Amino acid sequence: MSLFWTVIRHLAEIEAMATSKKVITREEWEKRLNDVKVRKEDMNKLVMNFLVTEGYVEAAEKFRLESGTEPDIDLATITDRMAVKKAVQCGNMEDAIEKVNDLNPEILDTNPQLFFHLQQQRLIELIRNGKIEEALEFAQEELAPRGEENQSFLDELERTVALLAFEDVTNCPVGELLDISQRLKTASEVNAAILTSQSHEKDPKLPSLLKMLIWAQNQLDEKAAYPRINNLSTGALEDPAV
Amino acid sequence: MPTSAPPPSNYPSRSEDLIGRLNSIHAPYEAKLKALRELKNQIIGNRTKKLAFLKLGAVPSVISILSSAIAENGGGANLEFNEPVIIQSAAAIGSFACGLDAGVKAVLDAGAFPLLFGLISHQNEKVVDASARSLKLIYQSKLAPKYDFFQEKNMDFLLSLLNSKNENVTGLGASIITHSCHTCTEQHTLSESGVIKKLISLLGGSLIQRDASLESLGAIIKENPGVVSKFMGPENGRALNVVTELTKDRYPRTRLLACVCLILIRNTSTCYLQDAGIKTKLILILLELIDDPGQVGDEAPFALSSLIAEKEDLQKIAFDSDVIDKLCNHVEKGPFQAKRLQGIFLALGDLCSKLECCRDRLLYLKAFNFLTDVLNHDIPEVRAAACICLKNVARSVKNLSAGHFMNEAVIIPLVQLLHDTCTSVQIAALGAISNIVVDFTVHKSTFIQCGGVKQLVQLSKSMDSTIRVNAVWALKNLMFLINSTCKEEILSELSPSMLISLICDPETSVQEQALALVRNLVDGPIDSVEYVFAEEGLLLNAIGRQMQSASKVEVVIQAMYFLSNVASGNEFHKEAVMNLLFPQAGSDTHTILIKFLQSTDSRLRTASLWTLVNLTLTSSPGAYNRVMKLQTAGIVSQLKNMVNDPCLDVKLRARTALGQFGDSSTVVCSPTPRIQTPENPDSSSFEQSMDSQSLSESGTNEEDAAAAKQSRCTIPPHPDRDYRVEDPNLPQGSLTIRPRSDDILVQPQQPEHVGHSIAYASNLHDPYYGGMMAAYGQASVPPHLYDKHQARMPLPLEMAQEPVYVNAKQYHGILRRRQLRAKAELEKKLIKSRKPYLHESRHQHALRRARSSGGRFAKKSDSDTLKRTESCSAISSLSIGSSRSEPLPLELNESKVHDIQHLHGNDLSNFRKRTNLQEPAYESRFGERWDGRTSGQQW
Repeated sequence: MSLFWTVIRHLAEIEAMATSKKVITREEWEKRLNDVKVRKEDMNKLVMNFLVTEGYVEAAEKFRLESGTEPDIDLATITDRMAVKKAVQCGNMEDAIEKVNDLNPEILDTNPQLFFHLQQQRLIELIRNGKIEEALEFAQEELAPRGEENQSFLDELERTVALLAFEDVTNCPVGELLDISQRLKTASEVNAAILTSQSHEKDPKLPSLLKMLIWAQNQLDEKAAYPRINNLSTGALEDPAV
Repeated sequence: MPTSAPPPSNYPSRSEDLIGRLNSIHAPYEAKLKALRELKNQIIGNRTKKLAFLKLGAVPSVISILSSAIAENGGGANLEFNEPVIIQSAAAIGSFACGLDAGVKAVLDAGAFPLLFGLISHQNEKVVDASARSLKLIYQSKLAPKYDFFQEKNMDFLLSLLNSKNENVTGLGASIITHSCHTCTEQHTLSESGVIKKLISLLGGSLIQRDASLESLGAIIKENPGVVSKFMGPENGRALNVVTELTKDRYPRTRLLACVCLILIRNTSTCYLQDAGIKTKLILILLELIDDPGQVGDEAPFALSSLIAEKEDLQKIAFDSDVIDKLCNHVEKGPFQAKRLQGIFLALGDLCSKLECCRDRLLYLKAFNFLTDVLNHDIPEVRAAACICLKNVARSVKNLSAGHFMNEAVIIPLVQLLHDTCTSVQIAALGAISNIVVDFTVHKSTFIQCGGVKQLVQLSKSMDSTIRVNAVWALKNLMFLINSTCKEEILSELSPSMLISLICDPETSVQEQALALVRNLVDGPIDSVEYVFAEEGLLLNAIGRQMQSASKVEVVIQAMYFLSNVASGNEFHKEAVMNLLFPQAGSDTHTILIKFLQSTDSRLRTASLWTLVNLTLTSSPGAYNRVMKLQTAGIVSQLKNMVNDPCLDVKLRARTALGQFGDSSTVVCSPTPRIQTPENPDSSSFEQSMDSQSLSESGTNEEDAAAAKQSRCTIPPHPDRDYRVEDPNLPQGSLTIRPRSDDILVQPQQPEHVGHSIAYASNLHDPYYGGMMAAYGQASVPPHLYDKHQARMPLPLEMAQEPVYVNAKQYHGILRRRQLRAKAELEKKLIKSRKPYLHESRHQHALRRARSSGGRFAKKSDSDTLKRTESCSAISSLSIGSSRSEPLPLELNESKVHDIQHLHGNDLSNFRKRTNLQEPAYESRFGERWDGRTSGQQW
């Protein structure tokens, strides 16, 4: 985070100077940017944080060896977490639930909403595979009691079971439940819950830094013309339009 | 040798089958491990399955597997399965205990506790994790056995847990503290052992450690000023900052726990966190947390409620932050978990407990609709919370005056709740009913028609004393200001023997309420007194016995006011009272009256004096005999000691009584010198000076200009005015007669009526009507001339002030205008900007003028003073004259004076405010006793 604040402070200084819309040339801008000292270790930590949170365990391991940055979490736990995430992404919900429970039985016991979403995903997978009988039985035995405990679960359950009513599920109003994005949603929810249970931030810091960069640039746009970063993937400075 | 073939893989086995495999002695370890895992995966997060397996006896099976695995640990042929079995069974045990009390009980009964504790020092980290988690889950239940901190080895063990590197183990340590630390000594023991320091250092740890230590810090500091100051002390000065920072944490749970911790600090010791900024911040954070869909959102309203409960400043801040709107939005958004709904209604109830603006806002938002819906909610806690909220909303005098609560949509569900199976719901419903039936208008019959009385009478026979108190309380309030027809209807349900048994109830609080009920019963037209003479005076005798033996002063006060009311009746009634006060007709009777007059409690002194005043009214034929008897008993010398009583009310009443003694004695016997007690300035006590200030303010705010002017005169100051309109035969001294309105003049039984109205005045003093009677009690006023001689003035007074005395002739006009304004304002017709006074210069002049006692303007010249001493008896009668002056609820205390200027534009809200505000004042006067009582229950 210290990097971010340095940048912000820098931008604020520029902002303070700009009474009207001031033009800052590329040279001037680069010179100022060069004055901002960002420690290499901080950058590395940021990268490591991203790799760990997103679960790129091999890359994290390589990065650790090459840069000497120690991750703030046991890399082995990432493997377990990724196994869960992968199981959800593949639609293998039973396996995912068992893996979460092996990791930490408290997660699903104390988080009814997550547990419901996993079960709901399981129901969706059953419907997707055409196991209608099994799906109905599962909905009655496992999901209906959850719906009784919580009204909003009941609404979601009704929506899910509605899938059974349509011949052509891809074209029905609740068709998006069968979409792969539903799996990804559930997967990221599980991922976040596991991270929280490990006392780890559930979101990587890098994306929020980029959001802040965009916000700061937008603020600055009102005061000055300066070399902007428009393409976040390259980070190239673009000359100000005078 | 396996007994059964393994079930087809990936197919959930039926529960019985699973249990069978767990219990099978011959199954190999591998199969058992598999069965355990399956069991665990089935029950986690699934309450229904947990219950099903509990019924099948799964817990003892799991625990026996665990204990045999522990026994074999490190040896035997199953080494590779040993630790996994331990881990799986510990996890299953934990899951059974998670959020399910029945599960916790089964786990404890099966003896899992020592086994799991033994595993905390296991060398395998995963085993430690699993057992620490399970223990933590068990400790989250109330059923877990209390941890004994006083044993040294226990404390050492606890510290070793907190010092562990494993965050599950430190979490367990914190959970143990949260679960078992309740008493003050436990808190001290823990803080002495350095636990606080350890916990503060854990605040810097991982998320789990932070949350756990915030929670246990809360348990250690709760309501313990000593520990709080240690927490805040120089050594840990940083700690508060750390906690405050955590209220901005990114995790909602951490924010909530940090807020709760700060609230506990604040509630324990008022010297911390007084900054308005932090108060507002806390309210805003909690409000935002209510949006959380999970458990945090369920708990946040409870934290909010504990933050604002009983604290008017915080309620005001909450009101300014639109908390009411936001909470109402939440309710409308519903449906919710029952717990959240309960919390929201509790918080709304707290908001409405003191501030009229909050009640207005809530009513404006049509909260009544959903409030009455929720009265039928499935969960008893929610029903009770809704009743509590309704009770607090019904404190609104304005809406009570307008009869807004007395409609069937409210009454019918409330009366139904009286049949509720849950005691706490019944009590809460009784509280709401108590307030609603105060209703000043004629709607009381609505309640009676809904069958409420019958049920109230039933409940007053309850075995539960809290229910009895509240039921009698509701009956008492129902009896307040009620017409004779309704009285008859109530009495048809409530037999005299029933009343007697209530008066003789083992609980003093029931006695008190029952006496207040009777006091309200005999108030009103003269024939009301006859009610207690039915059944050959059994009721009266019971009250007499209670008065002689009562241990609690409040009971005696109610009894004395009851007597005062009876003594305002005819000769027969007065004699009956004399007989009660002087049980043996001996010459040197020692009467308890002396004891009461010497009481340290000014309320009892006042009540006793009222009785005396009514007994000795010079207008009644038997007064002389009674005066003689009282003189023999030494009352007069006692009265003389009281003419400079520090309590204004007592002082005035004592002078009135003495005046009457004087009048009677001048007629026949050696003249008792008239009391010549010119009111010297130094006798105007602190109360009075406060009084005058508040009078001028409140007067201007309260009523229109004319009334305001009058209200400054505590007592009608014109001795030359002739009040003896009705009976030319009355002796000159009988200024005690209250001015009557013309229509009364034609009635024949006026002398009694006079007496009666005085009694009524005394009746007003009912501290129990939620304390709002406080100011009225001090005011000796006969407010109603007509047939509604109610016992209590049900305007809740929430500020500690002397009453405002107004001209009796204007009293009804003032009340009438007040009601009209209440209605008008509720219908938004009233122009909001009313000046508190008409002319600035006159106001300034009035403020500058010197005032004597009770806020009256001081006389200008010495000659005036002379005149005054001459007419001293007039003065004393004036104090009866308080019978002419009417108390109006005051609004100001010093802190409010400045607000008034802009507030008063909305003069009803002022009125409301004033009336509401009386309560704390009252509480501050009689602090401990009323606390929690008046406001906690009906008010």
